[in-house]
Amino acid sequence: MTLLWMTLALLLLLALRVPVGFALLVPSLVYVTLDPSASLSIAVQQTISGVNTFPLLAVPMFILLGNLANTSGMTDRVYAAALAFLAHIRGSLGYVNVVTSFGFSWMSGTAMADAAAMGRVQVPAMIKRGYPEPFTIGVTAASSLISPLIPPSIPAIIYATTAGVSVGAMFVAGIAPAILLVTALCLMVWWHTRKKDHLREPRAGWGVRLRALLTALPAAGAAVIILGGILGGVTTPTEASAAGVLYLFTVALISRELTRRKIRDVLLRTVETSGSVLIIIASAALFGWVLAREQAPQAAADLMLELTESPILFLVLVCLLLFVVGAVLEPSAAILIVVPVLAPVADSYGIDPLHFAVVVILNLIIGLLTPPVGLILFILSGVTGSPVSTVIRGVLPFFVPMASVLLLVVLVPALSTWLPQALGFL
Amino acid sequence: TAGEQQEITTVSGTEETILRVAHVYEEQHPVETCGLATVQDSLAGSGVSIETYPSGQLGTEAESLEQVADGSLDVAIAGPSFLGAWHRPAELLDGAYFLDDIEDFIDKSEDPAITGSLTELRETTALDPASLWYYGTRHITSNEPINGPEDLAGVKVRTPDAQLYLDNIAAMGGTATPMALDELYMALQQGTLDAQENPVPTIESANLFEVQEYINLTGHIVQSVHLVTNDAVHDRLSEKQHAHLDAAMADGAEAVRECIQTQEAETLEQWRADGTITVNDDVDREAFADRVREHLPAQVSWGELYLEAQGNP
Amino acid sequence: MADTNEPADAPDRMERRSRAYRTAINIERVGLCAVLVAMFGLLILQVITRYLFNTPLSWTEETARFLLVWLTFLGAGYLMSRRLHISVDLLVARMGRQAMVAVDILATLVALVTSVVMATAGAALAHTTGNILTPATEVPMWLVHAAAVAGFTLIALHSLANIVVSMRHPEDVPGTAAQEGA
Ligand code: NA
Ligand code: NA
Repeated sequence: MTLLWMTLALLLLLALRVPVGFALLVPSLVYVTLDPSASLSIAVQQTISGVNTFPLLAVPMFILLGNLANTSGMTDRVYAAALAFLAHIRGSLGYVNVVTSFGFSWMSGTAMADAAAMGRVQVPAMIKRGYPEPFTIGVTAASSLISPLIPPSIPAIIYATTAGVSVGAMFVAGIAPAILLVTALCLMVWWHTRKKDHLREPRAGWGVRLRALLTALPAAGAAVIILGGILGGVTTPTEASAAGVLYLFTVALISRELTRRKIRDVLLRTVETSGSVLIIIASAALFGWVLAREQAPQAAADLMLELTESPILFLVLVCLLLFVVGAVLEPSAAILIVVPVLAPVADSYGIDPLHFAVVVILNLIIGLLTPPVGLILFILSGVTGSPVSTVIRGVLPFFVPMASVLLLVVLVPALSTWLPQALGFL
Repeated sequence: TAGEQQEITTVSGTEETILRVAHVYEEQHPVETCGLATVQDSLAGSGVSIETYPSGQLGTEAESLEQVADGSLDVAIAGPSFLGAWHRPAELLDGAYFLDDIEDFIDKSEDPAITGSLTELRETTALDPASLWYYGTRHITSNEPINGPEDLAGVKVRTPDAQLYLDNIAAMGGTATPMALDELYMALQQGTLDAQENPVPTIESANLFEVQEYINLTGHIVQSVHLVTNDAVHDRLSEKQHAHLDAAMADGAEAVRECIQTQEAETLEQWRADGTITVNDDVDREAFADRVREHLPAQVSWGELYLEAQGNP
Repeated sequence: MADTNEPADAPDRMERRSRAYRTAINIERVGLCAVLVAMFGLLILQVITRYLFNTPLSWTEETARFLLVWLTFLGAGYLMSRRLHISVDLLVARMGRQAMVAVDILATLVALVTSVVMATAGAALAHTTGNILTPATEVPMWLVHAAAVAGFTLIALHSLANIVVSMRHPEDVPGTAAQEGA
């Protein structure tokens, strides 16, 4: 009963454009007020406690890293390099879009940062060159999901802290699925542009390519520092993110890309984006505390085990559930709320924790593209000036490649577990 | 009367009083499987039952004590050091090398120095430490063998998030960092920390042997945990039920002590046999104890009490 | 979510009108950036002291965590002044202008009431358990609780200001100018 009215209240508040953080707080506060043994002080305690953990320090650091990469021109250099090599291929700007996102993903922890950056640069460029607007926005939106699958990844950090899985293992677990997604999106680009011979650019000479590659090379340094630091056991993911920031900042200073004004903008934007995510994490922690207090995990486990004994069927049910959850909740909040409930159930089905983690994360980030809380839809609409309806129309066909990747990830556990195993995390 | 009315419904089993019990240990830990399971069994037929929330579902030790204090939770399980945040002398039992072994623990838990400080805690705060359970003897695990205080120099050791644990490690010669138990495995794997200290069952259940080379038998704390309730719980129970609860917690204390002692012995034996983690017996406990007696009393408000109760004034 | 199209510091109506309000917002922003930079500095310090000097510090982790708590709640306060909190636009986007303004005022009112409750409860928490000292840095817990009190107080004040602005200048309500942002 409690769970039902709390969920309904959450949905109602969301529909009324109450900010997500507050929509999570209100039903929790009502619960605490109604329960004579629970107190409002404890509600505040749990809200604070939600962000009082070391791994979450990576959230602002990863956001800072992505903003620094954008502002210091690092993203543009990756774009230029991808363009130099792929320009002459039919549909080149579509592939460049996907490949740039893949390159950027090693410096960005969120899909939002990718969508904002790519939406501003690549969408206008593609539309100007004759790519249909919906397709352009669709490929930009779908490829932004590569970011949270590749390390660094904020959803992976939050998942790891919530479920007690190693962050390092979580990070590498997403790499193979991300490459699968890159492949699926490239196939999609090929399909869409296969009869459009005019969609190609002049071939770049090897001189141009070499120069573009050299200017983009410092970007690889960030990936080396972050992944190398984590895999080499030198730094925690949180510290690695700070080291990555220090590196990008130094590179940008040396190449004189940063003005005082730009630094100020980077800091402010980081504070704004981090703040909007962190307050949701804090509120979701309280919501999750209420769920735990009402023994929702046990109830969910009993229900699931009653429904099916097959792990695959369980995962399919989870996917359906998360599709709905992902449509109304921001991924970090969704992870904080559903993972403590579902991860122990997955355990009892004998599903590998990393496999389950990747399924959950992929599912929830796809939710970034589904209304009503499809953050990427709004961001792309904001930066491109296209109405949300056009954005949705563009994104719709891309659910085919995304769903296919999800299905493969569900059916083939090795996609998520092989790399962590090979690198000695398991 | 109303009281009799309630008694009757209770006996007929229609109105069971359910107490929420929260702790940070895993579901497989003896505190849950042995201690709390025994409490639940002993309570059968009393009209009181417990509902457990393991793995820190409802919060950390410090948070669950706050929840008990304000009535949001009925029972929290937390070590003396966490009680020390509320009333300093209540942490005496957690002073390093205060207790020699489990017999010493049984003796000293009746010592006026201990019982007095707990009475003071009861009188000055909303917390009521109702039962004291053996939790295991803490040893330091590390990647390099640690035989004496000099081996701890510059070693970053994780401790639970309470002041005294940090002071203990500092007094033993190391650098302490507080961290939540569920972040520990990762931090050791990533090398943020060099070492940690816990009783054998925790090292086992949290798989810490996978990320550490040595378990050094420092035995620096004979660790106990308090089951902490509050006045609101007393008000909800009849006198008879309250007596039932006290008896059940005492049963739990005895059961958990046996379970943990057995598990400590068996696990260590197994580790020695299969080398899962190297058991280091060459620890100079006296050297550590001397260093602690020299450094710790000055750091804490109950320093004199610590030396007196050990017969070392 | 920060709208990356605009410069990060485009002032809104209240800031253009009132110098005092503008100063207050600027203080919030400088404070937030300082917290972010300090966090970054602590993490770097932690790595350096551990690996380069082999003298790990015991207080960097706890301090960095507390800064994160402050960043969260102060940040939430500042975000409210710029109406940057993440919310769901789809249903509202289909409404007429007047309905949109009404819903906006209602939603802000919900945030206002919630913040007042949270700030009060936070003060109560600081009152009951604020004197407990934190383990590593030995500062009283109320310094951490104060983040929530300060943050939710700021949210309450900013949402009150937003309600006044929305009533007087409905054209300032996000979405009414056919511009959508999450
Ligand atoms: Na892209
Ligand atoms: Na990434």
